[in-house]
Amino acid sequence: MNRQVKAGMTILAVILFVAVFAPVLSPHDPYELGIPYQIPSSEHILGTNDVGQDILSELFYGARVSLTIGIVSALVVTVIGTTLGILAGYYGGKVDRIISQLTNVAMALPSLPLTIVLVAFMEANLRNLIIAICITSWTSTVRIVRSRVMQIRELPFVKLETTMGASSVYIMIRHILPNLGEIVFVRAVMEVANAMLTEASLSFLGLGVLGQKSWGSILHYAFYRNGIINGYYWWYLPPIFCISFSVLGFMLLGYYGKKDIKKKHKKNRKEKISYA
Amino acid sequence: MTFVTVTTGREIEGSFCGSFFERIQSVMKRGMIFQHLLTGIFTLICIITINFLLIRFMPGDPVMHIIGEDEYLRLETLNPKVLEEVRAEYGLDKPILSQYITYLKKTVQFDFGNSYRTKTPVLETVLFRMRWTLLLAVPSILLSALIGGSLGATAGYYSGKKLDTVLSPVLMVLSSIPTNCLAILCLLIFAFRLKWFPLGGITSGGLSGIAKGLDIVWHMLLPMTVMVLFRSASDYMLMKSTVEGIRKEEYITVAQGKGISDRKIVFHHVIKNALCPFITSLCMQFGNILAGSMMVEIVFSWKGMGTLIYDSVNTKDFPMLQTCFLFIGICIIVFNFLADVLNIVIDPRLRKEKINE
Repeated sequence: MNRQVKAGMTILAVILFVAVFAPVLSPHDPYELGIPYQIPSSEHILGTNDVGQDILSELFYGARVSLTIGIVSALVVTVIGTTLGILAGYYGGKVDRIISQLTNVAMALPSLPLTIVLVAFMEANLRNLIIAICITSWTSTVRIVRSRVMQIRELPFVKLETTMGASSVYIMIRHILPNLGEIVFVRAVMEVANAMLTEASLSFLGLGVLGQKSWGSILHYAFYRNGIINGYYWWYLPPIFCISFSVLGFMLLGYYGKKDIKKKHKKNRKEKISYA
Repeated sequence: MTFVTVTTGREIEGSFCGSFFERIQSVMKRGMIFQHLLTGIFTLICIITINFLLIRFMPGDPVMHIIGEDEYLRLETLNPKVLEEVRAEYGLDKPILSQYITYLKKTVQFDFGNSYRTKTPVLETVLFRMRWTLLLAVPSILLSALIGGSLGATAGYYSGKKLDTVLSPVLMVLSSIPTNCLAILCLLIFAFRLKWFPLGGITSGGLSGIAKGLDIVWHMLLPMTVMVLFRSASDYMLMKSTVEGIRKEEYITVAQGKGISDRKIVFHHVIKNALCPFITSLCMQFGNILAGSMMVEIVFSWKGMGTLIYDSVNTKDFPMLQTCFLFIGICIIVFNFLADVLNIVIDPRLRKEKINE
């Protein structure tokens, strides 16, 4: 494991810790009203917003919504993408053609506008937001998994299993899926970052989960209620920092994790050659 | 996405004995292009269908979504007969299949109806707004391709050297800041604190001729800078990792061993091979051009397509949204097709049988 991956893991651990223990860590109730526009002090470490809510507590609770949406969307997308990818890659032929065509169409859909339209016209709750994010983002996972499965399918052990009479479902679950682990993991991590970015954009536009604190929605109020014009830096800088920081964490993990895996594969291959 | 070729014995023979196999190749090339064209048309039909279904399956009376809530309420109380006429015009009293055909007809005739808000034809507004988005986005995509591409190629070729170690972490951090946040930060520093640039909008108004042009450029600079920063970061990442991969290939080592200068190697061997993924990414950026600058447009209140979509969502202006959606979809499809064709033209390996890796 290299330095960058470790840094990414540390960032994510911090955010996860904050999200889980938000009620314990928060000095105030984030929904409690108070004196507006207070500058940072010992009472309110990051000051208060336009209705006097404590911004530090808002941030802690915001981590929950942002992370939940990020992780759940990534899980859904990864499960759908991996399943379709394995089916397309393993069976090939007609199944592959149908799934590939479906992927092509989904890739041509304008993702952010479609998500915005869906969110705007469905009730803005957590579930609908996740659905809207997932609808356009499963395509790249399918593509990557499909091509990897196509390679694995040609390996001797899969052919051996087939001749021994193992069923397709058994092979796919027991032999192909475990071999995809690392690729799927990297994709899932990148997908979390993407989903969190989309969520941040949506709530920045005021289309996030109604009545729930998220980093994007804090920024929304800071921007649209003139926090920036009036120079209330404690209001808009922290959410920007939190979003960027967590996305950076996931990106470090995904980008450098991928390199790590590649190196490992090369090493394995070399070992195999030396055995032969 | 890279492609691996399967070279059979016959193809190797073919490359030696001339025109016959070349002709087969060109036919295959055309066949593949035709296939991509079919995919594009199929996708277009899907987008139109989704557009159609969006209105029909939204909660509430579809007529309300077509003429708007205010108008609907007014007509319902004052003049229910007109309401029925509208219903008949869009064929909403007929079964869904004939509704679909009516919708297709209207789409082909570029009849997208009137906006709820402005009561003017939607098409006019969309085309007008599109101009401003293109003005902002086209230069920024080209500029960042140039900056990000050349820096990325250099950093990838001299991987691990000074440029790479300094630039890579900086651009990594830069690309993890969401565009709207980056835009807000720039707005804050350069427009609000330093007052170098205006706070937003396209023009200050009351100007004409060259003065107006310069004024627009002055308004354009800051949003464009944000987009260039963001896009060059991702272009850089892509180019760098591609070039790093090519750098390890044996033919580069051979070229270096022959004593060819770095410059020649980069231009003759590296760039040529790194072009395919880069062009694909550029085409995707151009495909997304209409909606891609949405966040920046909103922050800088630049009256382009992005703000139009956002305003239409807020006012539930359905005809406007549908039309924007259609245009964005068409743009993506056209550029996807272009990317496929360009890749086939550039990379001779793709003309042969391919396995998607």
